[in-house]
Amino acid sequence: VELSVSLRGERIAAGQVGDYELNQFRIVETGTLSIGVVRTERGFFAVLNKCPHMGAPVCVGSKASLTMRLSRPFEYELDHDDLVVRCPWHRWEFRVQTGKAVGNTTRARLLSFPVLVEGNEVFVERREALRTPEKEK
Amino acid sequence: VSGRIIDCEVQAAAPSLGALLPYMSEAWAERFRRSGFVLPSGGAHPGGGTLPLGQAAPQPEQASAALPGTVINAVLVPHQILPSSGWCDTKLSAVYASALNAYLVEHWLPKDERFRLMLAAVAPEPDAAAEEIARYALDQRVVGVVLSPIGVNMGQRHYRPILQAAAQAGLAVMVHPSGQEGNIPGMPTLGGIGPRHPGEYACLIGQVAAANMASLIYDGTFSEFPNLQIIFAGFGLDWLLPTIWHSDMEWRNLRIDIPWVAQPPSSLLGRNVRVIISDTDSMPLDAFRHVVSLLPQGTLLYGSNSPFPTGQSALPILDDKTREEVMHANASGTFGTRVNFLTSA
Repeated sequence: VELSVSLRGERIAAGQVGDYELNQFRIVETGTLSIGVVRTERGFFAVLNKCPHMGAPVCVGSKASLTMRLSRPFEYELDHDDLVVRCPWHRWEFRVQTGKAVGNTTRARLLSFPVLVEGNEVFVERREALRTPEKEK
Repeated sequence: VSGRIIDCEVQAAAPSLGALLPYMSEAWAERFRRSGFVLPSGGAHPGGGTLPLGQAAPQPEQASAALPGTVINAVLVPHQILPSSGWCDTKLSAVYASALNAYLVEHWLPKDERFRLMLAAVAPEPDAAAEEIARYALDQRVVGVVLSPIGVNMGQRHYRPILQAAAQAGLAVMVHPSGQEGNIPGMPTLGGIGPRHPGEYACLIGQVAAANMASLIYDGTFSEFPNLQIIFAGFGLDWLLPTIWHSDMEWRNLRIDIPWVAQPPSSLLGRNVRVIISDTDSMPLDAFRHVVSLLPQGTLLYGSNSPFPTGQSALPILDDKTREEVMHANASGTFGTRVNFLTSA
């Protein structure tokens, strides 16, 4: 679902809590940014809707989902500590909380944005988000 | 430039079946005689390469004399074991391998202190191969085990006893064509074709190396045995880069399928996977130089394939630094203290 939002200072309005189906990304468009916002059981998260690999709209139609953690051969283990968004073009995976790629596959990452929920309203913090990415571990 | 050479592939042969029979039980010797067993020729190299008509395979003294003075170690490869992976009587093959090993240890290794040995192993009998590895693991002149692959890829469980025993013993595993690929059921196929011509076979044999390399990566062999050394010999070089580039890309895209692979597959080259070269693998010289420049350090080992002929020698084409690495330094990384990297000149 594409949303039309309005900027309020450094905040980007991202709809209401009730608009969010669990783990299903919604796209928030500003004039310059396309951001994927998702509600998970751990709270709201937002990442730039642009895969660092080839620029695909990584969040469109995507769900925050589980992936596999490092394991011994053929002993698949779901990683319940984190949720990922999987790019539809080449299946690169990024953690929704940090934007970091999964499994040492690339140092490229999705920009991640803090999300504020006030009452029933959801906001993405714009400036904070643009500042965080490269320094975060 | 030292010019020192560790020759990682010198072919060694037993002269006759009679020479091997003392290295098996009387009953097995009788079985070999009664079955009309024909010893694979010492003068023909599986996958291609024969000695001039009438020329016998060298005896150890001749092989020793033929080694240039710059050779500090020569790894003997008992190439007569290689066709055996296509034989139906796999137990007989295993006894044959064991006899070949005992023969070479007794008759070849003492003849030149530079000699090192790849134990003969037969892929259809992995437990027997593991026993051979355990039997000779403490002999520092033994540096690895050589086998020709079957139609089961090397990452699969079938090979586990061999790979585990080799990893535990610190021995390398050399993979070499049998010459039977694409011809016999149970052997690796070559693009679904039974090649009718030697040239067709030679063009396609890299597929077998690529398939086994991919299997070793995807099945997590190196996650399980992080120090295991795999050496591809006799498959040429032209298959390697496309296989490893594609493996890297697919791992990045579908890591979720193989979460046990924690590093890009290309990082295995020069660390766990080596490829023997003697000649330029039919590449134009500038292409060969470029291909070598794209490979991670440590990937290539030099093997003369002596006494069998090869094509255009690769060594003069390499730059000094790379040539030193290929000629001996990389072998040291592969075989560790079992070769004389630091002690001889």
